[in-house]
Amino acid sequence: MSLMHADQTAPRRPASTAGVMRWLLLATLPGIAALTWHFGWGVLTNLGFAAVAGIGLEAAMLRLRGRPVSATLADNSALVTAVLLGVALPPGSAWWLILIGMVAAIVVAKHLYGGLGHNLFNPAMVGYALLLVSFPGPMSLWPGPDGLLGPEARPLGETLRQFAGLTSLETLDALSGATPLDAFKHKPEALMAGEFWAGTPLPEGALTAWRQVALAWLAGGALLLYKRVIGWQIPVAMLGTLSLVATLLYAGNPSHQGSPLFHLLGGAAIFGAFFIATDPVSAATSRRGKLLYGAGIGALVMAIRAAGAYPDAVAFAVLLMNFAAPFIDYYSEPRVFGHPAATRGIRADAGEEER
Amino acid sequence: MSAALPRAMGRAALGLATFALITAGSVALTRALTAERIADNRQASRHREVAAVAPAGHDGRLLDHVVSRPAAPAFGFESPVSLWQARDGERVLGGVVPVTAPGGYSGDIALVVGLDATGTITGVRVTEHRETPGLGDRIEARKGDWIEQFTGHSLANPPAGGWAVRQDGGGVDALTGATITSRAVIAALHRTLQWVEARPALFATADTGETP
Amino acid sequence: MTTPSLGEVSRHGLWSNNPALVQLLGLCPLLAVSSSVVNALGLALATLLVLLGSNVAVSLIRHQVTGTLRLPAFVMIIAAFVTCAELLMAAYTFELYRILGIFIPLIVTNCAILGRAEAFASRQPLLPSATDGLMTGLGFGAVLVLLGGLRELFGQGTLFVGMDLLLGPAAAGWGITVFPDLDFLFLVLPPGAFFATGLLIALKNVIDDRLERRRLERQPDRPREHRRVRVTGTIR
Repeated sequence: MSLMHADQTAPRRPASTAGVMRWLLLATLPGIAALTWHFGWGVLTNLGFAAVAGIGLEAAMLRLRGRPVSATLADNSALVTAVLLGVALPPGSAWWLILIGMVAAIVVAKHLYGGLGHNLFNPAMVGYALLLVSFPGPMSLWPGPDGLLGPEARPLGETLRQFAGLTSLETLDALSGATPLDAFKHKPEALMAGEFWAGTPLPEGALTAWRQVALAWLAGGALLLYKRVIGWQIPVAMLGTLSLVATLLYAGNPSHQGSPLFHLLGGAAIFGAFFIATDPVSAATSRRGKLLYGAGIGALVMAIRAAGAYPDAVAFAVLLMNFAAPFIDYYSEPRVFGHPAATRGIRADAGEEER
Repeated sequence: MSAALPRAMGRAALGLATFALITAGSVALTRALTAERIADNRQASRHREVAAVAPAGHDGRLLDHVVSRPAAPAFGFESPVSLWQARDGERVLGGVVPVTAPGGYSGDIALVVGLDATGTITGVRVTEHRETPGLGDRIEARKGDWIEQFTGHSLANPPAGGWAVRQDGGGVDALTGATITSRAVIAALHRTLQWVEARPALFATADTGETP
Repeated sequence: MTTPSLGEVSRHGLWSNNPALVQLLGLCPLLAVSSSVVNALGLALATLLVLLGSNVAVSLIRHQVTGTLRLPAFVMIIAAFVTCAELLMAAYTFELYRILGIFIPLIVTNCAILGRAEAFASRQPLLPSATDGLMTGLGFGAVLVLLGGLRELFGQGTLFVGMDLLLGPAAAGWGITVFPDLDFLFLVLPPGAFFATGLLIALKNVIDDRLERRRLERQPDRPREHRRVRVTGTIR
């Protein structure tokens, strides 16, 4: 009788989508709090508008597609997409930027592919990547870590003007600093890494702010792991590979490469590992597949950071591995208990059966 | 199968040869009819590019006054330089130098740099590049006025150390998000100005000799 | 093979067998060059001329050149027409020629051209072949220009800028700015072309569905046809 509960590793009960999404939203709170504390009201205007746009677009698309609107909206998945995109955008982004990103995420990446559960790509990252490619100017302008309430803080009114799109790109440029990864990538060739950090390449406190935000995301990720909303495989494989590649690069050329810790905490790696790469729809599903999938993301992030055109690359790495996820699943199908070993790959006679 | 196959092959070869003759002939005819016009077009297009940066007041025959100088790798000229002198009669007003800026974001950037006789820049244009759309491609004059800011400057203006982007302690604002592109262009301009400075005879006479 | 009526040939080339929207041929120039109306129109005209010329030439020699000689001969004809088109563009629309660059010689790789020569012109008399070349070229060109218009309008916020490169100085003032300061790079870059083409194909399928439904409503007695899964229309 107790056989049913003998295996402690078996999932207890399939969680409902709405439940999973609620935990996800809850787990983003530490990260959002840290972001807001360091980067000001702009984080909240991003999130607020993204949420409104996300729910509006989701409702519109559901109605167009003849699906139940309110029942589907209640699964909170549009809200999660909105939050993930909202925190990824530079704080205080203009409304049109957020709206275009949300259209790409909800309308194109999610509903044109068949709605939740059918999307090949992570919707939030599709939105982010589209914006990054289309509007490199506004997307590369991060405000300095001026804080929410301190004397340096940008007042709410100023942020709202920015949100309304009334602040010109030149003014924004003057108010903004580069992200640590961006600044480091664009250091002059002749400058050694040590000299770079000894100078004042970044707005004061930027590196600390980014580290604290990353640690806050880590806390949220730990909650997701503890609640078993996500598995450990993808984050561990991704961060492990990323650290490994970063260490190898650093060991090879310490004067021009960032340290592994810098790569782990200086950008979006932690956020991506726990909140983006683990999206159950677009990621690989088998255990072995998840390890491969995570490792691929980690390696791609470092490849693009080291040699690519963009300073950070979590969005591109996740999208590229989304492409590979079905393939990975195909080759890492687990053996089902009581059955002979699973056939991996394309069987020679697969084509014959179809005819 | 006695002689049937060779004969068929012979017929096919003959047929194809006839065909090749007809088609090649029509291409050759078109080419003959358009060659002169195409050459004129190339010349005119080059002239527009060069004239856009040349010092004012020249006689409009920029492309006729080509001056050659040997390669100077120290200044970034890997192969011999053919520059155009801007003249008004016998008086040399300056010239236009084709410059290659290595180290752009995606490969070399080709520029033409106009200079007057005192070594002051009269204009810069990008003629070829593969920089990122939206970021680096704003070095093109039709996409932004960044490239115009160099007009009127010379080696001594800005003063020493000024020929660098602000991040490197210089006096020039880099294009937002395109520091590497900006750096490549500025470095190439700086080297070109030094090269011109080291050759005071460059715009002194209407001479076309090979004096280094 | 029976000779179809000219109307039927036209309908095929322009709509039901459109090379860009149904056969999905010639996507390379379609996606690469459709970033503005003037680029699209330039390439559309060049492709149209080559298609028309090659169809006419192939139809004229269809009785003389048969068997193994056929394909090499077609390739030579098309290559000659493309080279001539390139030379003519260099002579008369030089700036546009420089912008389009490699995509003019690449017309030769547009499968639609060899496809029409082999599938149609080599079996049909002169007039239907010429019509087929013209209409297929127009069908391809229309999609190209439409795509160019969409991408220029929503990518750069302008329309008809630089038409003087193609049509001479009289067209210099045609450029209009619809959305000032718009710079939506996604549409200007090739991925946007894929996306816009997908939307155009979807639009064509919607229109086809509507037409089909209306046709069925008008003839209530006829049994509904067998529904088949299709991707981009029916390939005939």
